Amino acid sequence: MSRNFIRFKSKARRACLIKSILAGLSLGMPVGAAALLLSKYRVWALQDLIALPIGIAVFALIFAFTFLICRVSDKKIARALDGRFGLNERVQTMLAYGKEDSAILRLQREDTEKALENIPLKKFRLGFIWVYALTAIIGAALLAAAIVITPVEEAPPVMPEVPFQITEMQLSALEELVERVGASEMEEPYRAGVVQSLAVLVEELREADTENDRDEALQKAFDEINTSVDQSSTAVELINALGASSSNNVKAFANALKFYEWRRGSEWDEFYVKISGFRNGFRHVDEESGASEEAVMLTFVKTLISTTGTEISLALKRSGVDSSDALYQAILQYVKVDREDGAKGLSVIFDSSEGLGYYEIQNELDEMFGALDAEIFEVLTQHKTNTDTGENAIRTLAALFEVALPNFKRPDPIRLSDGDNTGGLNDENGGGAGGIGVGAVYGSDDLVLDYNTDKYVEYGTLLEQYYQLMFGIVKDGDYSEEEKAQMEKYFEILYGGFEEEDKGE
Amino acid sequence: MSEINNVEIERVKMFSEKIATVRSELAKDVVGQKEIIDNVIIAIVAGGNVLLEGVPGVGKTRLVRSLGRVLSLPFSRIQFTPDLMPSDVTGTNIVEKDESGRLQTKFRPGPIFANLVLADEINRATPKTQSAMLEVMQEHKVTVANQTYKIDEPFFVLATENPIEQDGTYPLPEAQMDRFMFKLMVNFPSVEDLMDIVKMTQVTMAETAEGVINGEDILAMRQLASTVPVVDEVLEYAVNLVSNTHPELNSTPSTKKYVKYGASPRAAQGIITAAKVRALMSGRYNISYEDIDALACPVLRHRIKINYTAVNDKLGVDDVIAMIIKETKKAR
Repeated sequence: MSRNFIRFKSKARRACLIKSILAGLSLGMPVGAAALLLSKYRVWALQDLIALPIGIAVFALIFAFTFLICRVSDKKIARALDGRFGLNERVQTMLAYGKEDSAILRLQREDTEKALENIPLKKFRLGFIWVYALTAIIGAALLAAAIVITPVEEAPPVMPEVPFQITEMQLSALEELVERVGASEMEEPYRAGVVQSLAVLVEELREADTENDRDEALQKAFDEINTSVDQSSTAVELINALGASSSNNVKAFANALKFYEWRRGSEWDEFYVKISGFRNGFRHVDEESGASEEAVMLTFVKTLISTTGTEISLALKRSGVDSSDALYQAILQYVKVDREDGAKGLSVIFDSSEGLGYYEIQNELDEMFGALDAEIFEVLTQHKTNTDTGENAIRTLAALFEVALPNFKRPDPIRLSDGDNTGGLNDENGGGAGGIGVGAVYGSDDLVLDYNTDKYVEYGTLLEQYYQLMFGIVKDGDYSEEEKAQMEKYFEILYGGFEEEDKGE
Repeated sequence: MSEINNVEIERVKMFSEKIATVRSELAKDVVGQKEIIDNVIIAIVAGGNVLLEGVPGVGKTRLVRSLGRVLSLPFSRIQFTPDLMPSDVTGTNIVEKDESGRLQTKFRPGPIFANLVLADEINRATPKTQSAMLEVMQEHKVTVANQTYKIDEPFFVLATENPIEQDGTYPLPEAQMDRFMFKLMVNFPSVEDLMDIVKMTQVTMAETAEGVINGEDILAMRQLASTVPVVDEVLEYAVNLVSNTHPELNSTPSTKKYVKYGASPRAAQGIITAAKVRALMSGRYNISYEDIDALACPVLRHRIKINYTAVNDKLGVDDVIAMIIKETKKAR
């Protein structure tokens, strides 16, 4: 084919491609812009990004259509060249007789080549590309505008103040609520706090003359009551309640809860490993195995502790306290882990010089742990009463004034991890210690007075000394008077000797 | 093969040079009338005949005579009169004595036996004589007493019609008009041309043009012209143009309004054949739309009959042809 003709042909094809792209953009972009605006103004429930596939689809369609329409054949190009540059059908003839040869055809081709050579390529224009470019620019501008436009959120209508006047019925109901809370079983000082909040609320509602004022007063009362309830349900408060028990064992339980100070990975964990190892050494001892009486006894202690733990769990469940409650979690921690530390109670047993038999031991243990369940249940019930009284007061207020109920969000407890269990305690020291688990914190780095040395040592250190002594006693099968005295002292310190003022107890 | 092609290529290149030589030689004897001269040359090379219409004294005879000299072709002139017989044109058998004194018939060729024939005022002859003339034009042979005598090629007839005198004339019938490739209108020369004519003829009336090509050259040029390529689009245009002259067909609005009957297929053949020659004369090697447009009037004006509506609208046949061309181009 003629070299010069190919020049024009290439340009024609390029022009067709450019026109098709520009045509596609000219329609694809405005359509995409329209889709974007429809999404932005929520005319349809589609995401903004839907504009992209819609725009691309329209672009592809228009591109294909335009390309088909404007694609140029050799004949078209030849006709255009002949027509525009007055070539008298030279190019068309050359194309039509391209495959034939004769003298006159050769001359015709040469003549045509010469004519084409004299035509500058830039003079050969096909179609109004500038029109397509202009429409594409307009399309781009529309798309840019659609992207930039942000629907203006309408300002919420300013609601007119609605007047409010407390009715006699409401006043009467409020006063009755105040009396009811005052006469409830809610603990002091929380009860007084709630009563005070309600009394203030009554006065504020008497003076309120708009619904806004009413809502403000109610919200304030809700917040104050919730605060009182939250304070009443803290673990510290309830542990202190347990600590006030007359039973030493309940005290010990409370103290054990105190040491659960939400810490992880203390040195107490390492000590516990040793204790657990000590305990696990008697795991498989049973009555008929012919083990020593001490071993059997330890097994029974362990069993009773487990049973007690179950009873405590039941007490928790019966109390109806929410399982997410902080105290619930603290008690559960003790039940699941700390209860294994029943060796603390062994000193009582070994202290007995009367040679307690199985049943005596059983009774002792019953006495030691028996009250725990009831005490805990009582504490938990009180805790529930505090919470219910406060929340019921809030519900009454919400119903009385037909307002929304606030969230009763209580302080987040610290959860126990799933590793906190007492079965199969494993220890990297190989002591057979079970799963202390993450979060099983024993003892603390609190300082206690060691009566034996008159020096302050860490509680954990003292406990270790106590158990070492006890281990020695169990191993030897006997103890001396001096050892007994030491055991008693340790017991006093560990279970009542935390404060210096408690020294004499 | 390449050598032969080179010769052919040279021959093709020489075509327009030869024509230019013929033109310049004719210009020595014939002042102006460039379009007429060109069309006459086209007709001669294409193998057609020409009908000239013009008032007396515009140089028709001089043109044909000069043409004969330039083309180195024998020329004859036949003045048609109402009493002219067919045998006066074709020739006849005469009885004459041979050397031994015996009577024998011998054919005496008529003035038609020439390469270039000027048939002056052909519309003055009777239809019978006209038919005899036109038969020779068509077949290039004469039959007398069952004897056929061929006319040497190239054979070209340039017939004239006097548009002024209507009494005692026999207008050529359409079927016979169709035998002329062109009908050319010889107009009165312009003032400048007339001045040149007067100046020239005051000096001498002699015709000085000399022969530059001969009959063989013309035949070779004719054969060469027949090989000029034509694209289908241009051919289609020419055919549509002729077809659009027929009001009974799916033609143009002008045709339907102004034309009584249209041109024969010979018109389409004539246009293409003549266009090939014209293209070569222009230095091109292909036919273009321009060639068709330029030759449309000469080819069609004697083949189309306009109706009274056209006359009433003061439109001549050339005006109607121009309208048909315009409307055919629109549909192209």
